[in-house]
Amino acid sequence: MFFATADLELLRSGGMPSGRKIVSGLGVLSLLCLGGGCRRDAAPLATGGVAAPHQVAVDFNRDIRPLFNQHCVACHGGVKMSGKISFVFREEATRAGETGRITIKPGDPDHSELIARLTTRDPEKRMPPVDHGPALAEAQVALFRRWISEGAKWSEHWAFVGPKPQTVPALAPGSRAGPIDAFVLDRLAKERLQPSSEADRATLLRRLSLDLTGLPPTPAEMAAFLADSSPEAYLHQVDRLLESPQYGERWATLWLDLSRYADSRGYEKDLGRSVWPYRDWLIDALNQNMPYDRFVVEQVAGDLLPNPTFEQKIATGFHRQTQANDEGGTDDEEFRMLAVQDRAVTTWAVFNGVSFNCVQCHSHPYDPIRHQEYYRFLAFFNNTADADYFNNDFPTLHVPNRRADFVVARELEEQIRRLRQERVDAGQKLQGESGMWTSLKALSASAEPRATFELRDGEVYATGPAPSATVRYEIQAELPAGEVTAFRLEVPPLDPVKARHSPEPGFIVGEIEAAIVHADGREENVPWDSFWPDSPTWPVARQGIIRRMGTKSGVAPASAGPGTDAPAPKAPAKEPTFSDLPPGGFASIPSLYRTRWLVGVPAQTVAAESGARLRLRLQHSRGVDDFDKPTPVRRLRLAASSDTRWTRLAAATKSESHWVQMNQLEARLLAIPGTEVPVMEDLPSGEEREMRVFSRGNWLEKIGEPLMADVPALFPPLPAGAPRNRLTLARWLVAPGHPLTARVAVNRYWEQLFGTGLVETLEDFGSAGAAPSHPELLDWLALHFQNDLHWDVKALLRELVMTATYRQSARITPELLAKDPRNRLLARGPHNRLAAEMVRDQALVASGLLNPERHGPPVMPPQPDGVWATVYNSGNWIDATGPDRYRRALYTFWKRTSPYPSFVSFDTPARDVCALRRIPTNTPLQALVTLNDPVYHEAAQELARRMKREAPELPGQIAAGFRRVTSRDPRPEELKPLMKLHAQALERRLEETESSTKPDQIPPDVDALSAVAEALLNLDAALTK
Amino acid sequence: MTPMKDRESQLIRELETQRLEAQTRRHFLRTCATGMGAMFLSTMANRAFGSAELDFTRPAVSPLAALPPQFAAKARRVIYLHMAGGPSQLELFEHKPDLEKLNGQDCPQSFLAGKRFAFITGTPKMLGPQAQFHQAGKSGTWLSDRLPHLERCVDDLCFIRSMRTDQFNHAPAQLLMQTGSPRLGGGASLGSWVTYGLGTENQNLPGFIVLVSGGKTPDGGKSLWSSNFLPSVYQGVQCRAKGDPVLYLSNPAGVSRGLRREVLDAIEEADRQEHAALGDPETLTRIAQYEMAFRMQISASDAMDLRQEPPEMHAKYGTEVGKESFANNCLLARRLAERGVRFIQLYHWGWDSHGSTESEALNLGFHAQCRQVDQPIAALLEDLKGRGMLEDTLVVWGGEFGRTPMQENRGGQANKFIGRDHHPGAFTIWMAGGGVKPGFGYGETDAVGYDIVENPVEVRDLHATILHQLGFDHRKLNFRFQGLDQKITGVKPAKVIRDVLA
Repeated sequence: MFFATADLELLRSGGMPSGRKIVSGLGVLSLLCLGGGCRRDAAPLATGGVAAPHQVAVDFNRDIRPLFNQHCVACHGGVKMSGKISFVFREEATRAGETGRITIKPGDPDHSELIARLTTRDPEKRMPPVDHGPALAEAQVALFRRWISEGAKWSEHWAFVGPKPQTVPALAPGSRAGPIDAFVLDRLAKERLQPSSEADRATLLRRLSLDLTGLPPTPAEMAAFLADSSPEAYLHQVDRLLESPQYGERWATLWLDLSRYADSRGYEKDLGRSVWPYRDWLIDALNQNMPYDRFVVEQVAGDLLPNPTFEQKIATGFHRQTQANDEGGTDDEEFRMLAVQDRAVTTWAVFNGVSFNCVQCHSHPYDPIRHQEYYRFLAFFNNTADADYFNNDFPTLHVPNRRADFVVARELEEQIRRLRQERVDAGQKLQGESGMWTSLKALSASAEPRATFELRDGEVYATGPAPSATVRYEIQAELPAGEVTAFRLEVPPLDPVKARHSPEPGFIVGEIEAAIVHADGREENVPWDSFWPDSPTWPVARQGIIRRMGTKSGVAPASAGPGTDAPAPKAPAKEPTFSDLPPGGFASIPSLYRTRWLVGVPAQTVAAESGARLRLRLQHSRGVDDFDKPTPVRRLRLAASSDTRWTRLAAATKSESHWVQMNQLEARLLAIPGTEVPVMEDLPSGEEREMRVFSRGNWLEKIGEPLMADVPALFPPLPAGAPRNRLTLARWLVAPGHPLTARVAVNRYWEQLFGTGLVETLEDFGSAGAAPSHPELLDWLALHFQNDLHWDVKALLRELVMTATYRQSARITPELLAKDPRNRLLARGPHNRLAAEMVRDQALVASGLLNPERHGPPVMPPQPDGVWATVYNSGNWIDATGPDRYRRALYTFWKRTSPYPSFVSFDTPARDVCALRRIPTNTPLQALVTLNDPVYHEAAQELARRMKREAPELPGQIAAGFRRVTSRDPRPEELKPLMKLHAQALERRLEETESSTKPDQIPPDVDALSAVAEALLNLDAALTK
Repeated sequence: MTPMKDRESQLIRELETQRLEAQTRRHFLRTCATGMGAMFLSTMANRAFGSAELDFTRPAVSPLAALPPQFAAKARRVIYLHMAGGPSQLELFEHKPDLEKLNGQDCPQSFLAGKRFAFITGTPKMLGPQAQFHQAGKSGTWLSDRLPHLERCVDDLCFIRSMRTDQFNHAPAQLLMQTGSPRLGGGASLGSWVTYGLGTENQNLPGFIVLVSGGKTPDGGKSLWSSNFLPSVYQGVQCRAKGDPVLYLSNPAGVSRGLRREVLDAIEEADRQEHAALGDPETLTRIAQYEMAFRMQISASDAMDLRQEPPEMHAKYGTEVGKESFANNCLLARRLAERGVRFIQLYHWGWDSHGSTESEALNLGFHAQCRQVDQPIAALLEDLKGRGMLEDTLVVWGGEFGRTPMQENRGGQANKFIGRDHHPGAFTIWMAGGGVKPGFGYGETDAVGYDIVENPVEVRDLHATILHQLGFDHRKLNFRFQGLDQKITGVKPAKVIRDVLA
């Protein structure tokens, strides 16, 4: 029986447990040191290890927080604060709980309720409660006592504190290892392990090629490398592969998982979506080695950069991959809000490795992030113009198919935007002048079909059920004697305060007619000159949101008026052209969250005598959703102006020519062959939505005050005075001093090369995630990546693959398997199964079928019949028969509710939400794919033909095939069973041929070689790297 | 011992030796919740991966190896019959004479205030039952005349008339019902949880099999049987009536079973060399998976081959060989249950009785829809019972929500045919066998079947109850992902409905 000094220390510190119990406690405490995550030189206290813990103060993160997380925070954390006690924030833990007693009194364990409750013999009072778990071991209690005695020092979880500069461990004199190897070797030395020798060259090039380009080396590439005797031979291969255009394709695959890229919208109908230009942007950005900080900023907020390029806008497709629900009868605001939440959560997950989902409903259960901070953060994303439109991804960018057309397309987009803005600005300025408007008191309201109205305070309220989606309102209002130069229609929400954060249904008015009813009963139509809308976000007709438009708008004679002598615009056939109403009409889609207005300027100034009335007819053209649920205007007020500047404005701007010009420009834009690509676009300033806390995460119930966009207090603050928008947020993510972005990035690249991250839980760097295996190396790499490499990803990858650590042989000795089965200590090289995409691509490369074409719309390689059978979706999978049959895996059409089956077997995620880590499995369904999927059968047959061409004799043919799929020569013992297989297959084939009367298409020897090729594609050596 | 069995046991022995060698710190690793048994996964995270409390580790060669339940279980397997679209409880199981009296009258405003509907707008009319009801069986259960076959089994059924959900659109409601989360990618399927927790009794078949009929995949798509964050080995495998019963099950044209055997032998021999050279235990696991695939080719084809059933069985179920039908799927469900498949999930599409088309009309298409399921379900229950399997097979029947007592008036006008809108507030499901009370009814709705007045049952309560019958405390069947112990019942309190348990 030994007693370590640590144990004596514990005894002295007040626990007075018996020695026997201390020892039993040790086993439990060793749990804290998980997955090699603890530094040997700073082992947790009370592990009884070789370290001398009595010299080490209790460390909150190492010794105490895990105890809280494991035993306490389920009830006393961010979710439940049972007894008003929480151990997430120090200020909460050090105050009195419900009982009035101080939970933790720093320096005074004897008066800390925590200790009393951990140690009481009263089962009613003991913590954790009996039905939640056993009492804490006495050594653990002793740790708590000592920690409180030492002042209950709190420190932030390691990941929330910025990386610290690290001293690279000194190596033996003469060592040529670089800094990364030094950290690894230092750890190995402490574990008394030797690194492995370098892998053989063939293995190295296979590993390197698949890791950097996703493709195995060709025999020619292999031969060149094997023949290159220069010391730089390996380095040259690294540089060649980093510069290869296939590099971008391989790394885009990672980002497609992270961005939840899919070619369909999700949920019931799961209709298609053309987002592939974003995928192409990824490939290009990665190939061009865009620095990581820029790569982050452009994806999160490329649209908000000054004078954004087309590519920068396409980059924002990152956050337009959120799902949309086109099912009938959905609440569009609900699914808009879900997309907004997904963007916030994905931003945290991808760039910061923080799980933010749980903060939707309550404060973070483990990490110090408060409930309200979730909603402050959500506010960054709540102001984009997109919504859950039916089968429509507005706002979109018309992206030309040919890059050469980008410049002209961008110029046209800009002109259209400018025109739209000019039009709005001119009207808005006048509209907002004080004293401009006289309210017109409504006198009567009626509708066809009949509807119920109330008149209150001069306004019209439609109170009854909506009779029809195409209801026509007729309003009569008082008209003051005198001249009227403009009318204003305002549609306020029924509850304007609430609507700012919880919008009401919108409306679409397609026609507006006005007339004067003179005092003598005579009716006189008022033709319109022009309309002046309140927002450049509308009209949106080009985007196809408003479909099945009403008939010709109004009765304005100006429809063929000035400005239209230019050739008639070639607007897309589906979109009717309006010369007087903005295209699409007067609409708020899909919802109404602020007062909308429209100013109409009559063609001639209206002169009204005393007693005359205005009669206004509003024709609704449809409901806002695709199912035409009636959503008419619910509240309306009218006003008139006598300011002659309206008349002058209308005359000076040849009002309707804006729409005409816009139509012409849009027609020119759409004439460029291209694709409508969803992009992020913020609502114009002044139209922002309001954000408040959702009570317990329920979006229908918002509480508290309006929230300004902000980042959680746990993190560095936003720069003072910076606008609270996505661009500021994106720049904050990559600003110096951010504790997570660089660490999460280097960890992800590490994981892609080594198979396991330095922090294994790529998805969670919080205190519930795994501790880093090499914390100093992680920090060193993070700072090196930011400060020395300036976020240069290829440079980072280059350094990683140049390490001796990466180049080690993957041979596992029984000793190593015993000591470190999962290779967390890196005493051997990585040996991992190929990703789903690599399994396919390798088969295509080996057989010579691969079509290396890059970019373009998704393709449909063969898939079994009947896999796609989505309700209310006529989309069909049509097997490609041309070259598209053999494209790289990443171009395969990705349908969320029906993913490509052979990929799923190899662990691809559904990409419904961002996928931060693929967990590789080893299952019989995988064997069925690579043995039986026609894609692989075809590849095997092609490979067989190739093998036959490549050597005259059978052993050479098999060796050639073996090289193509495994990148190395077969060992004699491997060649033997394959030779035998060939003989068996040939014999079978010859027997069949004898008994068969049909002429044979495939020569028997090729057929037999096909069986060999099939075996080759299924070798462990083929499926791993 | 057959050569095949021999090969497998040899592999298991080799792996076992390796494992023991690797586990000089066995105790330490096990308590870390890594568990060497999780070795079939190349990646084994410790706290980041696996359950916080229970041990679901298995030998690497058989990730679906059966594990004992947490406590004594009443049910060993589940057959779940999901009626996609939301079948109308008011035409099947909910006898509401008062609703008949209100037929054609305006819906009271109190029903509408603060409620969200998929399609109803304004003030709809109340709609009386579109079926006749009578009392059936010794239990005197009220049943409509739409289900004459099921009537024979009514004393075996345990009804929950007070189910409710918080989703009123199909895909989210189906996802909630089958994965515990209304979001795509939000949760793992019930069948995945069960096979993760219990494995399966037949290593030559997938543990979680899905059968789809009605011409369409349900609205939630294949996400309904996704394992999501659970390892993909636990995802549902769809078996199909046409083509390969399991995707890629049959050999390509020209590859005979004999040749395939020779191919696999060659692969194995070469892989053993690779293992000798590299020493990676994953290589041995891969050899074992290829063997399992080879056996699955036979066992899955055999299980799915309805030609093996005698004519009287086809007559009983109303099956036709080679057809894609719910009847065929019911018979397949029994065959799979017999073979030890743990979770058999059926989807039958076409219950969305809005009344906007004839097939969606409660007085027209609904009749045919009922006929498609009535005989096969009764046959399945009787067949299971006759084989002594009903007592340890939990059969669950239900949709993703119910339907309104009001007639749907899409766009403010009554629909062309008679139909009802989606109703999340109250609906009926039933269970049979697997230790639930036979001939029993639980929960009650108001006089028109709109609101629950007694014993509301949440979807998570249903999940908790199903898991309980399989021997699991739903709070303990969890999986650490993104810092949380994920459970199918989520974070809100869920309860086992003890009153329905026999």
